[in-house]
Amino acid sequence: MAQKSNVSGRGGEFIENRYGVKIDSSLINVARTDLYTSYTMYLHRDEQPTHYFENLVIEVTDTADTKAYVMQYFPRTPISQTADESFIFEYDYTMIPIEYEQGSKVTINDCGDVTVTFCNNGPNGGEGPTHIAGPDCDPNKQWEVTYLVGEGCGGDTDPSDPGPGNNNFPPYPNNPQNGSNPGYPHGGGGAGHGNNTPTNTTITNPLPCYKVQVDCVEVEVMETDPCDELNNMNKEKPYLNVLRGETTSHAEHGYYFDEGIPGATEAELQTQSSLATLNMPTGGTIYGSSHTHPYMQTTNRLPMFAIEDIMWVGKAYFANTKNPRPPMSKFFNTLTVNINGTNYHFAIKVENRGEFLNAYNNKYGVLSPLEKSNLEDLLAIKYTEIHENGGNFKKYVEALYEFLEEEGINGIGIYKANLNSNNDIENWSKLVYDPSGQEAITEEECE
Amino acid sequence: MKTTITLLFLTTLCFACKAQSPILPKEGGDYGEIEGAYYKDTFNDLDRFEGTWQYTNGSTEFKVVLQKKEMTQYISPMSGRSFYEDLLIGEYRYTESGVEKVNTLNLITNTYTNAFEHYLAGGRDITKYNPSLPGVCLGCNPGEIKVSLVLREPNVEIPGAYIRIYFRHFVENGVEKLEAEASMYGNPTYNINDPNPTFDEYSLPLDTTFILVKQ
Repeated sequence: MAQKSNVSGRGGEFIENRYGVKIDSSLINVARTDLYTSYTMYLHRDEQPTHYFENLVIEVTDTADTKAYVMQYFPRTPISQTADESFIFEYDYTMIPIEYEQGSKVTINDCGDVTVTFCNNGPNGGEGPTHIAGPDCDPNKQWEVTYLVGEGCGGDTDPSDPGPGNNNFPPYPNNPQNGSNPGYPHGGGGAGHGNNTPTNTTITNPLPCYKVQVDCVEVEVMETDPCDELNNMNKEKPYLNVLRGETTSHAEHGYYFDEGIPGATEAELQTQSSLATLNMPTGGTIYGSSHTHPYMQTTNRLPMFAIEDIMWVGKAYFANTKNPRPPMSKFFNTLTVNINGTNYHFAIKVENRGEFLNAYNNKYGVLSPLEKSNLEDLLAIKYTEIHENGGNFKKYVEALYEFLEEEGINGIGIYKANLNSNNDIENWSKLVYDPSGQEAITEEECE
Repeated sequence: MKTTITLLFLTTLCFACKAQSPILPKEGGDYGEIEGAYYKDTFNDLDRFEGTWQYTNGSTEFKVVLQKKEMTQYISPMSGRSFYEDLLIGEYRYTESGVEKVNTLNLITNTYTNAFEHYLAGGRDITKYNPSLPGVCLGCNPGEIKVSLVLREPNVEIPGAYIRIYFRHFVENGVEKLEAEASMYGNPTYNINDPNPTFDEYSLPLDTTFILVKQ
């Protein structure tokens, strides 16, 4: 429960003076157990580091000494806000006990376990992605998970040290039986969450700076220009050229790209689908995929991205295990198709990480499989209408942009490759959507 | 007082006019884009697919029951926009070599708020034979039409993928028949770190053509 309060007195000054931090007590998260009460508040510095933020955690009991810790959180992913005013992110952390002066009521403490409260209520009352529990979380949809802190409890006692945290935050417990995929609600799980909180654990949820409305760290992930990323796809280009020769096939063809593997790996058809649909993996250091759609003139397939093609970019991003994870702008999904006799390469790129993650985690991510298939069906109707009218590629792209806008899936850009006289990919153009313009879709060449 | 009542009455009438949902033909284009509109099966094309249909080959059977549902409401779970539409809903049973693999037929009488709760639902796109557009109603002969529905199966889910089943209606020697073929769409995904990724399997064979006869 968040409370507005004020921290003053000798203890607060001591911490500020000794550790060079300022305590922001404008918002305090309070967790009460039968044994003690913990208070979590945001810490900031005059020169705020850009890659981590800090919380002060104080545990007060009637029977024992008060304990205090600085928790340093090192985000490994952007912090994405959820519909219930909480947030999702992955992080490493360091737990540093506060050392007080001799004779103080507060003494040097050994490190303890850390208990974090999770929540999975969806924005419309159903089950949603797992996130840090906020004050609005349905009490019936939250649970606690306790993590053992490693030896040395962070290894240093000076919270000004900007080194990385050395305690990995475990994956989100979406599916405790099978492990999980952080940040993406693959369904399942939810039941049987453990709640064996030891009595000596520290209950605290990370309190990011933006929650307390102060000037504080913005966790920066260096994004690059999607145009640059596409124009520099030299490794991938030969495989796109191969796919261009498959656009009149009845089957789907494709590759995936892994930073750890030279070249590309050919994707296999889904076990039960003899022709039409590829299994496109994620995980490891996979960052991109390229595929065709079966030929529209001889199959019932349509020559533009499905919603799941777009969401693959998010899945690949969250499943990527490289540390630090590549920027989201590196991830892509391309589609090579033949429309009215001409071959095209299209690419999906995330242009606004925050908007896309919001749609991915909080909108699309909370839909049931039934709702997702219904959305795909509606998009397919639009493509079918264009097919029946012999529409060109711009009509398909316009329909996709329009649909994404209607449904609130934002932050996505669609790009098209330009071929040179040798029939090789020369560069890429962004397909700009402007429904009020003379042409709804215009091409802007990537420079 | 009389003037006031008249004005109020006219105002009420005016609001009533504005609140009426436009009725649009399903084939009219821009499907689902007008808030509150009713996309109606004005040519009663969906009627052709209603009924009980069965494929039999020895002890392998595929039985489908389809019904037309008029003016069902769709509300987008993401944007909240809504419209009305005529749809086909259905249930099915598939028996392979005498073993019943899936049977949802008893659910056909269920009434759901969301028609897509039925294990067969759709019929939004109705494609018709058109000699100048050979790629549109594939396999169609003059006068024939085709619809696609979303097919689901209890307790079967492949992340990222969904199943569409096409039904082509035709008449052969005076007997009404449906050609049916289900295929996987979307983007099935697995995590490469999973050493043994397993996938659910649909009982109905995919990419396989069945000819069903009207019962």
